[in-house]
Amino acid sequence: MPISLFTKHIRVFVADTSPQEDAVRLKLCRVLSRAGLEVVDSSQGDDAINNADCSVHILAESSDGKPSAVVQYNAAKQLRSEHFKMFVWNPSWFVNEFINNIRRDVVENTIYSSTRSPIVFVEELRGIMNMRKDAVNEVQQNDIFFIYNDLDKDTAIDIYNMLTDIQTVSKLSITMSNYTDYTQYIRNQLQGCKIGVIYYNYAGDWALSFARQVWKDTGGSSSPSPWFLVANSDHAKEEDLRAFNGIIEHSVREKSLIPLDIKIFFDKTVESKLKE
Amino acid sequence: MTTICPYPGLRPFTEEESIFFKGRDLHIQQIVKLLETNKMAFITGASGDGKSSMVYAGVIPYIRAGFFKSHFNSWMIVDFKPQRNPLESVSKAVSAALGVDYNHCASEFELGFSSLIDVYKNSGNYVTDTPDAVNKGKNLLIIADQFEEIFTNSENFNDGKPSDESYTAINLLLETVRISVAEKLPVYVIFTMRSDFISQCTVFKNLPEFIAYSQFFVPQLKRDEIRQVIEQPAILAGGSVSSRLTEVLINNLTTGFDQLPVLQHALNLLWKMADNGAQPVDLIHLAKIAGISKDVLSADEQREFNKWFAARPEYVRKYFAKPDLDNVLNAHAGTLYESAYNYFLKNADWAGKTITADESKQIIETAFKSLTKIDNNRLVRNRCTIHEITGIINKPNITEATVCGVLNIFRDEDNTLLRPFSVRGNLETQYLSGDTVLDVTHEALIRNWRRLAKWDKEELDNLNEYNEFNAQIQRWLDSGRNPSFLLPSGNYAVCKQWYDKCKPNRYWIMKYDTSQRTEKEKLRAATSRMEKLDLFMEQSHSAIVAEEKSHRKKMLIAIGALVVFVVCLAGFSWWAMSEKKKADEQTQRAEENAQRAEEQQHNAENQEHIAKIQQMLAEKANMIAEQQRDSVQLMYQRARAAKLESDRARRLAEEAQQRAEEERLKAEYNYLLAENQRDTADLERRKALYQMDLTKEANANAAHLYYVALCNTLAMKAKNQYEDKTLNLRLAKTACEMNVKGGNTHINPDLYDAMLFALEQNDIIKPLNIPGGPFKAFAVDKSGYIITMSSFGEIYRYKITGSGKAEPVNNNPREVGYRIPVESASFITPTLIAYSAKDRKSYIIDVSTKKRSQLPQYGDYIQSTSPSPDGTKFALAYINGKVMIMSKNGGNPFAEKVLGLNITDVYYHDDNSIYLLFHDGSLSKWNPADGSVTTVLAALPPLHAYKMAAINDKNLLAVCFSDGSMQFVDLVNDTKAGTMVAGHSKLENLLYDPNSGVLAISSADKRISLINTNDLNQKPLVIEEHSLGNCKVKCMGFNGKGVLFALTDDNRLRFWDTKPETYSNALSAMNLASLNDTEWNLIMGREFSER
Repeated sequence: MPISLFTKHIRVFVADTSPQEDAVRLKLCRVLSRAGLEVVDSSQGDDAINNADCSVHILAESSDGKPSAVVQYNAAKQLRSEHFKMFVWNPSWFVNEFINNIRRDVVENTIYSSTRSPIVFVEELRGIMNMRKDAVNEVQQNDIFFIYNDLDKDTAIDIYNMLTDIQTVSKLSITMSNYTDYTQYIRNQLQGCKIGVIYYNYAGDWALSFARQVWKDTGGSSSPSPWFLVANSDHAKEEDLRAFNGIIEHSVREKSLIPLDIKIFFDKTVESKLKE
Repeated sequence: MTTICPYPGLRPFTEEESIFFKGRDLHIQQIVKLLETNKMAFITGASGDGKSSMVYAGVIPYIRAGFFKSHFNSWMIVDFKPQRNPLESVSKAVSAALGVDYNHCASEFELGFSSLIDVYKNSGNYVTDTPDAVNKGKNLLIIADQFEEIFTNSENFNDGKPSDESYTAINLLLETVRISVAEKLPVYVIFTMRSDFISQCTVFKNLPEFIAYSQFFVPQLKRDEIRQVIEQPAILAGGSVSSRLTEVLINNLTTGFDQLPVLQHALNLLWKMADNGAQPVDLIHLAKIAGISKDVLSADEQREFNKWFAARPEYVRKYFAKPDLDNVLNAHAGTLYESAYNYFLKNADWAGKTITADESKQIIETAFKSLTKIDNNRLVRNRCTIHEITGIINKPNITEATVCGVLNIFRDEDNTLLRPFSVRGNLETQYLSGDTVLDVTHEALIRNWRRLAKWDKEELDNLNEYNEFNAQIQRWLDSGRNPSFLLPSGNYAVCKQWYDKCKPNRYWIMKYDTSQRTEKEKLRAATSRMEKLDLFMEQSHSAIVAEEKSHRKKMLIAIGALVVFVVCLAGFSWWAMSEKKKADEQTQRAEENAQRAEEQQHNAENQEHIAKIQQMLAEKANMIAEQQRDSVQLMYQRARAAKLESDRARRLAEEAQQRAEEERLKAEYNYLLAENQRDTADLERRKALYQMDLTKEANANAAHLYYVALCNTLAMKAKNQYEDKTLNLRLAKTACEMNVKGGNTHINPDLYDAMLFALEQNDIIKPLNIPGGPFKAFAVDKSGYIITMSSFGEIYRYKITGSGKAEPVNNNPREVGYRIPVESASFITPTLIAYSAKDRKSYIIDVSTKKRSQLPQYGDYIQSTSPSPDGTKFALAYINGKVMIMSKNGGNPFAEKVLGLNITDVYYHDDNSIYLLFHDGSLSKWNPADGSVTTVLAALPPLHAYKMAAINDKNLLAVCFSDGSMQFVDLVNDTKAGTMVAGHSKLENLLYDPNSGVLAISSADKRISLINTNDLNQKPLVIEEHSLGNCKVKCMGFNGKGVLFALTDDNRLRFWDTKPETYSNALSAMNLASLNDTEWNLIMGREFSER
């Protein structure tokens, strides 16, 4: 659906400001309410911030002059996490050393905005807070996550059977004419496995594109569970995989040697994790 | 960490770089959905919105990876840009992708409508009628990228009218979509076009409807999507971008055009500045590319920055005066402009280095002016060749190679501001020919490089002035070159100033030719126009010079007279004028006053009237407004209540929909999980079953081994001598029963021997009682008759009776007898015997006709014979090494050969060649047709060979040797096929029975081994010495029913069935008592308690 209708109940803690910024703060609170967000502030108690989903701190020339604003800013810094986001808004574009310090202090789950319009700012805030996260599903804990195209199932099953003699393996057969969305399943299952393996024999066209997509979708080089692309030398050639040099480890082997190659890659991965 | 920069800079992402293309995941899915339902997606968006990247790095990889479901498992992607002839472009792309002849494609596509679908259907990629069509067929995706080229190229679209080719191309693509939808074909079309051309699409019939049907307007990225664009590629490549840098970049992005290209370009430089991602990309790197003030940095970072900054040259430092994200591209391009000359000197050895640094800057300026043009007062890209740029520069020392060399810094793989890009170290990409088309990578460069903006303003001025002068020239030409249309001196000066500054030439003029003419025609027209311009300038100049001369002369004469006249006239005029002016002013003032008074009176009346009407209207409006307010208030209250209710319902519905979606995803996920668990369980079950099978097999094996042990022990015991000889039979029978219980389907050699022994002990098997002899040879015919030849040349024929006796078939046992001592005899067939008498004369005798023919004398005895395949001839070998081919009726030999070696056996092969076995173990092949002799097996001293037997049905020849070994020869290739050990003593006789597949081998240790050639793994049965009466075998024969006969040294003929089941069945059929417990314990021992 091109237009997102999804909204959830969000409590926004709007921090105190100096009296000069009261007008800006008041307008922001009204815009937040109009956007369907619940505004909370220090008038509802000292721990109001603890019951909020995010906080907004308005910066201005006198931002460092209001003690309660600084206290609330520091409290928000302590709270910021995946479940609590801290928004710092500098609508006047004023810059001084205090504000530069804040800009340097921006870390994960802190959003610094210098848009002048409260509408734009609230739009961004609501967008970030409404972001959906992947559902947490049951994850099987195994050594290897083995994926192949249904076109290659004959050889893939043989390799899978050989692999299961030496490691624990989850497998997934992809059928292109099937309307199932595999992406989330792959993302989740890879978390439970130490490596992911994409195998192909006939389905080279599919495998090379598929490997790129899942590599991208599961964190690329930063993923704790790396991918291994392995092809059967019956129908694949080493040069087909040249584009993956430096991105995804790969090999082309005859069927009987593939489980051994996977095992070597698995051992290497586990060993390097232990070193870390 | 990968070695690839995850940010491509100004150029779009390639398909290979799709792995780093982030931020558009949702939009890609939406486009794919559109294709699934409508077979078409018309993607529009602002310049720099990443339309091409989204298609090439987003949609295509997504489709190829199998996330787009269509008819077939494979995809064919046809992509093209309209360029200057869209029909030709689409024809080329389709013919290349489908492997169809281009000319065929082009001529078909000229017909529009279903032509593309027809070509696809006939290309073999649309498969419907085979069971594996899903794997054989290919879906077709057509991408018309940069569709705005239909409108930007004057060849396609001029004066608001499309060319025939562009019209046909659009008809073809739209009809392809229509047919694909109607016939549900796996054919899809994607268009990408800049949205500012959308209004011009109305020129094409049906195109607006199709756009409305499938338009996807590329949305601006939201804050979080921009965050993904910044952070995710670095993470994917194994690096990172600090959150504070991300926030700064997001906040500094200006709204409007070029957001993404400017950001991508900055990220590309940032990544390189951070040691290709080895360091986390942070604010200091942004400061180093002039994207943010150093004041934002911490004190330590500022120190590091200052040190770095001090080492930069002055021309680089000046770009740090106003650091900003928008400045990064300007600073980058500016730095390249300044350093291009040094780059040229260092990297372009192949170009003449005859230019100065200033000239290099001039080349860049002219090139970029040429690569941009004014279109509707807007600067746009203008592709042009190196040849055209060189032409516009028009300097003898500046060649095409020089232009290419100077511009290369902008094409460098690290900069990519101009296409085509060059690769360092690859001369082919660095040196370009004059006809190579150059293009600005992205229009963001045009809008953000301030120097280029300045150049383009100059270019715009030049163009405007040119257009003005061009109009003047045209008027002059239209007047038949009338001198009065030449430029006057003032205009000429302006024109000359422009001419010197702009230095126009034919290539420059051609650049602004927007007609639909071909390139050559445009150049010709530009050359002509340039000549006219030069002529116009020259003639204008000449006319001005002549005019000035004549004018000067006349002026001198006229000036004197004129001065006097002017002075007089001026005095009189001044007086008259001042009087008249006074009178006029007074009249006018009076008229104005009267008119003003009238107007004021009229206005006052009007105002009064209007005020009255307004008062009435206001009173009425007030009343109505009050009524409306009450009613509106009521309606508002109702509407408010309804809205609240509908909001609540909508929210509930949304929540329900959300829950349903989550449930669906969860169900889908659980389904996959369950499927995997089922597979795992299935695997475990199969493993368990396999283990169970193994256990069963082991139990069966144990039982089998137990019964085998029992069987063998009983067989061994059956070979002992007992007072009660029936005990031998009972033991053998019991052994057979145990063998069956053990699951054996065949009888092992020990049991076979035990059965023979038991049957011999009870005289059930005994030698034949044949009168006559001693015998030299015998044969068994198909009817079971036995034919013998005695040492005295007597031939007997016997029939075996049921009691095992051999009785003569007639009253005269001596069928043929010459009473001449026989030295050697050989049955060629059961009715044809060759023999040698002691007097070294040899004969053949036909038993049926009793005819004897003498054979040619060779002074030695016959050793062996072998019949020809058709039975009309036979091969005959003498001990002394002579071999011949004879007719069965005798006479002279057909062929003969003297080999001089001691021949032990001969074999007449199906191909009419003769195999000869020699005593020294060698085997040769004699071809009687050409007399050639080839060695098949070499001699094996000290071994000797005695007999051979052809196993015709397997194309093998078995040869036996004195050490008990046997070699097989492949009769097709005459090569050694294998070796086996058939005994431990000299192997003397060898005979093969094609009916039973048994190869019988008698050896010097008085045994006969029976090898089943159908299963060489089966252990051979052995007829032991006791069965042979402790004698050696002289010769053997089969009766065609698996019964082996052997003539032994004691001159007795014995026979055995080579099928052991015959004996076990016989034992079963006998009414024999089972072993009782006492016998069992006594004979077998108590350890075999279970019977």
